[in-house]
Amino acid sequence: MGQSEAVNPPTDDVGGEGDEFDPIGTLTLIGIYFAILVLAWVYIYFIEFLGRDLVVVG
Amino acid sequence: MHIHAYEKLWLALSIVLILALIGTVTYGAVGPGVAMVADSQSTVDPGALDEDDRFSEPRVEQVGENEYEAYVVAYQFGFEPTPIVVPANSTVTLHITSRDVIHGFGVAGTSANAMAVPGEVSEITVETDEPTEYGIVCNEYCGAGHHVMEGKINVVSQSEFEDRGGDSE
Repeated sequence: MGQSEAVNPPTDDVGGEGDEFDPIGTLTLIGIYFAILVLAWVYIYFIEFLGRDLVVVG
Repeated sequence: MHIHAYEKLWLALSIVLILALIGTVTYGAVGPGVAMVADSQSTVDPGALDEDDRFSEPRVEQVGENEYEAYVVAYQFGFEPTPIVVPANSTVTLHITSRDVIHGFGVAGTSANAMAVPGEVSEITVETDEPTEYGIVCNEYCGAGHHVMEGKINVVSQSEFEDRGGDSE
């Protein structure tokens, strides 16, 4: 009895709002990774690859 | 099922990232016209290149207004012709093959790169700008002299090209 009561309440909480779990640090870190990834891709593709001479067009 | 708001956010961003990667490559193909080496060229006999119309005499020839074709043979350890002399502000189609083993044809510091495979012809078309000089390196290990295998592309002005190339026509 005691066990099932201990398990059930958290499930109800998660099913509710979920605002208590707020990993802002992880979100920030992934946001930074994402920005690095996008900037690196733009640099590699548009500046290093398309910006150089003798682009193969056929 | 409850999905956390942050998780929804990074799922959405992941999808945006995948679409952006596909989008940029599609843009490259449609906008600047970036192309790959195709297998549309007919094969050659690597042992009898001296009897082949295209490669018996490695050269650069004019095929239209501002359009040139270069026939390049890679061998252990160099490229013919060397230097490959092409005019500035023109469209140059390079036909590259090998008469012995697999070589690379990488124009250093540029996006032009192809393989030179015996029996196969790699065709790449590039557009030249100002007169300059490019180095060509072999980027496929081809034997003991691989590290010294190099060539040159000289992009010269139209008038200089005509002065030099009068004999090739």
